[in-house]
Amino acid sequence: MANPFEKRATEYSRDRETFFSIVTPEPLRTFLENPAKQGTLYDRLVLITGTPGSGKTTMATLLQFHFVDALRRNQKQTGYKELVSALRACRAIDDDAQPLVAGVRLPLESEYREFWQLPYSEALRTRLVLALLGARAILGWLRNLTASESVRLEDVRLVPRAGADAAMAQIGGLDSTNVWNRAAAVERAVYQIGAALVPPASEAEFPEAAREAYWPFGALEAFEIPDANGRLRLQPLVMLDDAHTLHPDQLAALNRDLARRELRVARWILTRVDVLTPTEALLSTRTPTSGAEPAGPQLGRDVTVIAMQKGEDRASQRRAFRKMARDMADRYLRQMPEFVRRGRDSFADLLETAPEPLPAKALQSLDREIDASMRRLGISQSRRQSLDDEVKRYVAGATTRDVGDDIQRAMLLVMLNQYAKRVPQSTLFEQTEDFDPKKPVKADAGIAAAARIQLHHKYGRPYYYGIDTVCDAASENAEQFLHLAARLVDRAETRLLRNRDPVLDARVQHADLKDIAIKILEKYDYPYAREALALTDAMARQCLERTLEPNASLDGGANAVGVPQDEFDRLPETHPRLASVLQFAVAYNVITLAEDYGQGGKGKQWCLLELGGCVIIKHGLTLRRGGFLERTVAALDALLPSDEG
Amino acid sequence: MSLDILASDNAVVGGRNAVELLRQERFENVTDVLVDMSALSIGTSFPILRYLLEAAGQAGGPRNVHALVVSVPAVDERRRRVSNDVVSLVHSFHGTLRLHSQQESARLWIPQLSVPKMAALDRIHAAVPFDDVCPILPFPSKNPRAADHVAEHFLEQLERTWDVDARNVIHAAEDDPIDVYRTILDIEEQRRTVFEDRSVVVLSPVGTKAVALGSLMAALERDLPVVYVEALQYDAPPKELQVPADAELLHVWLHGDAYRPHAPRVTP
Repeated sequence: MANPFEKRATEYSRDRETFFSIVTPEPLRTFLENPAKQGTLYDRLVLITGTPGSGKTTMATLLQFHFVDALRRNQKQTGYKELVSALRACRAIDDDAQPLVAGVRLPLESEYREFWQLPYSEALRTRLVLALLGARAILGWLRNLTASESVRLEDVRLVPRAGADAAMAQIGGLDSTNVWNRAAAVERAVYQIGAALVPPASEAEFPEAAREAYWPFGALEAFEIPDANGRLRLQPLVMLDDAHTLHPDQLAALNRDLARRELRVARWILTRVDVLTPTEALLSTRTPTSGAEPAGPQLGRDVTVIAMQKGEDRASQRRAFRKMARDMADRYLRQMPEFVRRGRDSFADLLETAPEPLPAKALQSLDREIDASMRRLGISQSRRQSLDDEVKRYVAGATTRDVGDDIQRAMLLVMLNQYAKRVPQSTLFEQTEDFDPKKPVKADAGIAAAARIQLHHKYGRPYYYGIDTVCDAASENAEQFLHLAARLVDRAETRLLRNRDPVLDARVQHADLKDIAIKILEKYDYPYAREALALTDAMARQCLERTLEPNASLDGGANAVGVPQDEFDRLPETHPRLASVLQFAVAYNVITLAEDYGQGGKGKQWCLLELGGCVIIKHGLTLRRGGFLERTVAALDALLPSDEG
Repeated sequence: MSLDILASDNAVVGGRNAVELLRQERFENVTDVLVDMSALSIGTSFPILRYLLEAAGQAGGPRNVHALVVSVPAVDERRRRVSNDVVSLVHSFHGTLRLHSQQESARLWIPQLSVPKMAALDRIHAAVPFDDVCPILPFPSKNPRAADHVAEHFLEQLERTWDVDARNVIHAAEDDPIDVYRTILDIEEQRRTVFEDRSVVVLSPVGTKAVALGSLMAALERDLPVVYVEALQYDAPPKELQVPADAELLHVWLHGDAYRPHAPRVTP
């Protein structure tokens, strides 16, 4: 059967039961619960940003009314309880599981952007797009409300906003059938303008339905529909997805109108992360005549911003993603009959976490390397013994079980080199004095991490295995996690079909993850993909060089490059080509940014450009955060391939 | 004359801009307009031809409209490209695909499979909810194994992610636009008897130009939507872009004297 891990969640949305069984409720809690508690989720414009595959669309799809309604009607069904609880947390339903909002998702496809090319004023172009969106929102709401077939179109009552009677009349009045027909007519009329080979020369030549004012977002306050317990009153919610396809000025104009505080319709804009366009810029427009300072809605007061992949506490973000990914993987696994039949319902359990230690021959080679290093560095046997004891001390208290003989030897090797760096150098011909360095060499988790990665590169010891590795390699992107997991699930399924143990050992996981990571990167096809790949490959090579230094100054190594934050802030002006490459590299998770990272003396602030999980795996770098190389923007720019290719 | 294909934000504007340029031209004394599609993307060539055909049907328009294409499938398949990351409808080839008031229509996608365009086709499939997929494979073709080669590369899509029924695969001659034109019309006709006006056939002729030309003819005749992903640039060394001396020139006389009853002979 088709591997469900290879399909996006939204591709299941046509089959409601399957969709519910694979959608994880965690993103609703993680991103929407707090704003809902603060009362800032449905009363003002909400801007939600995230990379492709981060789960924005899945979240919006789930919050459409017909899904919410189906969940609350079947809330006692096993497997739905968590989803219902998450809906309660984000106030899409109340404590009695009654829906509070009627959501509709409108993808902002490329046709909306085409309206910005029409030969009309900005105001008229914006009016046309808002009319089209309004008409489609009405059609979507009414379709959603009547999806269960227990509610007919004529049963839907529209509640106008106070003082908006005229606007209500323009959208068809209070009769839902009239409103539907009017919306269909407006949609067709405006659609024809945008799709025309040659657009009408002026507004006077527009079809009638497109000439008239049409502003349902300003007219509506609520819908009411009959329910078993009387009537349900629902706040309309429109979710405009993929807003990055609009022209920036077009989006800013739309935001200006949608941010008006008098609107009673809840409105969300979902857009891709754009490293070049600060959130404030999405909300402001230049006044065309005066060229005055941008004016527009204010963050916080008029707009709630929810960033799905940016936050101050990155450690807890990573933990939250791991939890969500595990849950998501288990749900997908339950769609595969071979696993269900054999009672295998945990993806994590399919991934062995026991390390594969080095074979005896490799250990002997490691021993020889230690001896050779001692001689080269002029380190005495007694010093070696004390470092060895330090390793044993660490191992005795370590919480991880990956501290076998091979790791201990590799740790010793690193510590010998660290010791040599901290004491005066002596030659083989001089008497060796056993110095105690000012900063003692200590064995810790960092040294152990360094040992593991160095053994991987020198002796091929498997490095990437276990559920946490797969989660971290996804760079907190749900779709990337599924792509990485798909291969592992495939292999486990094949084993099951052959009546073998489906649990994959470390070596198999490592090989598969590396293979699929490289394939994912090769398949990427987006603007500046070639440059982004070249840039990240060059960054990775520099990180690897530093990682493999014998003294492991960055513990497990580097997987990021840091540039001064103030240099990064000026990037679009100083290095526009690099800015464009980074814009797409970040959008497609090949690089993630951590801005205002404070490290170093005198309060120096860095912008970290962390390599994405697939790049990290391709080059054999650590997935642990924190190790970075200090560079300038100019040095980064020099890593780009030339324009000629 | 120069033409911007993309706006500063990478939005596709080439088709609309091309039509605007043509509107400034006069055709009263023009007997024949020949559009060489060989080096134009469908996003540009399709609206150009649509405009000329609509103009030809009116007073002051050109008398004859021809489409030309140098078809070298082997070169087309080798040419690497950098795609935009937005799925677009070709300008003026929207049909009723995006009308929300007709969302219940059954959507059949007919993509022309092309290995360099795999990522673009995946993007289209992810962006538009299709009910069925009928992929086009090249057969007959100069390389008799061409269809196998393409199918092999698309195995994952055909068997898993796109869930294609094996009976839905279309074989169309790689160098005969009329073959694919007739095939698409046949399919559209059959669907109309089943679905009446609640069916939309969506084309993505992203591979060889000959098939693109046939798809254009079908799209014009039945007002079918055409979905594609515009190329931002082509990533091939100049020698890979050279046309071999024995390349075939295809010519389709789309409108004019050949179709008028008792039309006077046109002396070349």
